[in-house]
Amino acid sequence: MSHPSFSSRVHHERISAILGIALGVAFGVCFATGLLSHAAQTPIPWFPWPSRPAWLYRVTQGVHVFSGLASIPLLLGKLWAVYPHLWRRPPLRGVAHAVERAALVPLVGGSVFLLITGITNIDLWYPYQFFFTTAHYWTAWITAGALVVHVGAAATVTAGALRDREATAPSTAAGLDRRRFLLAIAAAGGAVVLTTVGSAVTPLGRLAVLAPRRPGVGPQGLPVNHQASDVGVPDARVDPDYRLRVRGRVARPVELSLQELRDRPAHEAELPIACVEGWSYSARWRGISLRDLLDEAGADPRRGVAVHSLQTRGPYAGARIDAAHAHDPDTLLALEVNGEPLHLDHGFPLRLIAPNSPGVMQTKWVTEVEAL
Amino acid sequence: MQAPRYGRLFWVLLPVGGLLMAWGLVGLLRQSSSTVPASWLRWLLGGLLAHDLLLAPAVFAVGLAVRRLPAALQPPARTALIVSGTLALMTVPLLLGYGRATQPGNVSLLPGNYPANLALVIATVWAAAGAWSLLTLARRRNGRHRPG
Repeated sequence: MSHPSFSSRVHHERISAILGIALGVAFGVCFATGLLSHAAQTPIPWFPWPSRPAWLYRVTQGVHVFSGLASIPLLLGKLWAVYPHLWRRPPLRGVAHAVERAALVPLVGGSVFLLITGITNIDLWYPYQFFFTTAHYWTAWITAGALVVHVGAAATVTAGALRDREATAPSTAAGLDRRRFLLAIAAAGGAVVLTTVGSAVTPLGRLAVLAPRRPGVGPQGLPVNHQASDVGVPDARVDPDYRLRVRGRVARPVELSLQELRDRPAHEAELPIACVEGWSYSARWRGISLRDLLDEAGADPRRGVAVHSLQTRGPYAGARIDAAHAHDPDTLLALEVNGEPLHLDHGFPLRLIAPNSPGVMQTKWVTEVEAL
Repeated sequence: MQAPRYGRLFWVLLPVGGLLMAWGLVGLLRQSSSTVPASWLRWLLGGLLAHDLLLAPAVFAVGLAVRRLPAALQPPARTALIVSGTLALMTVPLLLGYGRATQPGNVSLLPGNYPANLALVIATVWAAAGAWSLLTLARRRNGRHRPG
């Protein structure tokens, strides 16, 4: 007797072809936006990340995280459709088949790995020993390579399955016919996005009931990734010796006390904080112009800067800012957000805020700008 | 069973994909202090095996159980199971809430009451499935009374 569900209409080449294409598109988008995020954080000489448009990273990283989440039902549906192949006899039929099956280990293992690590990262849960960012990044290359091999192996079958007219005939039996199975997978993807995307699309914030962040929740109504206490920031509110120093390759080093910073002409900009974890919000920032400060110090406008923080722990105690971002007229060392002095957890006394830049590079508690 | 068909495309894409995989693997091994390959491999194979040996058989078992339902109720029930199962899987880390413990006092981190939120979302899904079932049953009953 054959397994009833294994002969069900869901385990069918046409379903597996359609879901494969959908998953390939979703993973392709995820991979491309992930590479963009990598380029935004790790300067690539031949691919400079621009400082404009200001909202670009907010969109690309939102697309990265939410297309990744929407891939959960696509991947599970696809694996369900092809599951009987796992147990088919004989397990290997020739060299090409052996190669195809071997590539499924990095393909399926890598896909599951990317989704699990991505989800646990946005939920700030780290049950593994590796550092999320590097492991996720290199696994994406391995999975992409395995996907390319798989596309080559499955192209003929997929093209044939998509031409299969008979497969579009409606089913009258119980259970889910092919069309309904695909609709159920699409509904699951829609439900996933609907209950999370509000953490980036602020008007949908009230729907983000299954998201690890919500707009409006946090000090001054803005989410915080790392609190001051979490990264060892001394409380600068009581430190009269706080200074902002502009040093490095400058003609005239500058040193400013908090009062001197406040007395300088203020600039304002409406800019998003866009976290690598997908959530984002826009705020009105007010502070001093980094470009003006660098001009005053006599820094080379064609070169970038390194920004250093008071924080003593964590991988983001500083950031290298390329020339385009350092000299953008909207890049601020902000003293205020939405009309209030920065909360300590938002980087008091001074935080960097640059257009089109990942949140991890918007260094908080800035104490030194080093011209490079 | 028909033999798999491997066109020229397979042999063209094989070295391309192989190169990408090699690039990823070399990068992973070169940064082994942060990628910790032993832990990485455990999670990669662990995820694969967890799907193939636990999740897929569990779904299969649930699928068998659903076969006992009247035919008209099966599509709504299966659809609701797919949607709510996906949402529940995605929400596991939020339900466990370990992320919140990484930064005590950060109120913006995992701010929701996730067990209640998930229950509400799943209840909505099943309410929709219930409405769908009633609609199907009503349509069948009308169809039976219709002269023909």
